[in-house]
Amino acid sequence: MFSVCLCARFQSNPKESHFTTAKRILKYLQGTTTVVLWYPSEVSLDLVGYSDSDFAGCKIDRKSTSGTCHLLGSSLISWHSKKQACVVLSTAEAEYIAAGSCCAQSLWIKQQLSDFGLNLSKIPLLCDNTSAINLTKNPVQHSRTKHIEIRHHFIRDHVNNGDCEI
Amino acid sequence: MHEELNQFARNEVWTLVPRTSKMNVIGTKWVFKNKLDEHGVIVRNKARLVAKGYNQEEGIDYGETYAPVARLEAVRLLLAYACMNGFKLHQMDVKSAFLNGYIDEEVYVCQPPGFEDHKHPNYVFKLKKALYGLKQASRQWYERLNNFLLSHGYERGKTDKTLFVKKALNDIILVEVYVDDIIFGSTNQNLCEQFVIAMQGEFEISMMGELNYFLGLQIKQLNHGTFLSQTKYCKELLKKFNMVNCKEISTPMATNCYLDSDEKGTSMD
Repeated sequence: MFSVCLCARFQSNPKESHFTTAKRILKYLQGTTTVVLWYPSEVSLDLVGYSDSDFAGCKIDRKSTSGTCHLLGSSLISWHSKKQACVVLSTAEAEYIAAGSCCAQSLWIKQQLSDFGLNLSKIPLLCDNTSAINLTKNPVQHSRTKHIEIRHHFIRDHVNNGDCEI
Repeated sequence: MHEELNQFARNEVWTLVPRTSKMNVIGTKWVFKNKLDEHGVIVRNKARLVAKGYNQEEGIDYGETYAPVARLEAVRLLLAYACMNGFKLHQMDVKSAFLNGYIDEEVYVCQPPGFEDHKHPNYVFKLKKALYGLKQASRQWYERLNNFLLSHGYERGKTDKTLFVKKALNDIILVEVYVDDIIFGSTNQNLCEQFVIAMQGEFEISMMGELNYFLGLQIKQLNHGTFLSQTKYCKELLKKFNMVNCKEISTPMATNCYLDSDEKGTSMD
């Protein structure tokens, strides 16, 4: 998904190098035509969200990419890989933003499941950066984090409310 | 084509009225299509009369055009949930769905080419219901279905406007709407049957049985789990780009891959 998005960014003015990359994606597709998603029955119904990010992965504007996925029991429900909207100054910040978008998706799935008649509380959200995790719990604003935009603190609010835990 | 026009008559889509100069009359056109099944075999030929919606003027001929469709995530979530609760999902298709939507605006269309009324060749049709190609068609259809389901005791999902739920004691029926494709499943077989009967009473539907092909997803529902694959879609994509016999590769992109706007590269346009 990441590679498709990366190629799609050059659609307006495609060059030979982009074409080669795009062809490689199709070759990969050829190898994975038989791969399927498997949703087993008789497993516990619990939702887990995973989030990760790279740091300044885009060489052009130095924005990071966040990736998230959600598993219900052991079946993969949703995933995404998206370039973040702003430039960040630290890996913790990049992970923090990724966790934020993961949280948003978790809440949507939670709402959807409650329509199905299944109420979940405290959705675990797994993030691999300790300082990002601490940021969600500790509202201390020190010099390295005070520039983080308000909208990214959305996740902190939901952690406080007990909607999810990291 | 006759089947399509009969459908129009049955749904009371339009009435013939004399033409006046004030009307903004929209042209119509026949569109022919071969319907394929999941293996790519032609099942039937289809003719559809469409309106040239691009001639419509906003505010006069149409107001709102937005209609919600189900998210693919919602479909997967529903599948996983159904699987874990041990019930199967079924699929149905509403025939000429858009012809069911009532139209709020006054819209006039030309007579279909090749099927003009001999007595009144200059008359135009005033639409009562939406026609394919009209900008508001999908919205009006959604509105109609929405009202129908709500009046039958269904509740709409809080965030997902395409999900309809009805609870009865310990049982639940879930209905997911993707324009004219409807996926539904229930913990109780009776609820499913009731739903089908209600739908049959209101619209003309064709039952497709268990959910096995939806939006390019091939679905196989077994007792101990569900498979989801896109084999057919992948193969078609490869065929489209003439890459059916290409070599397999294990990763979609090299790790050291670096792309930029590549000013010096040869243009591929």
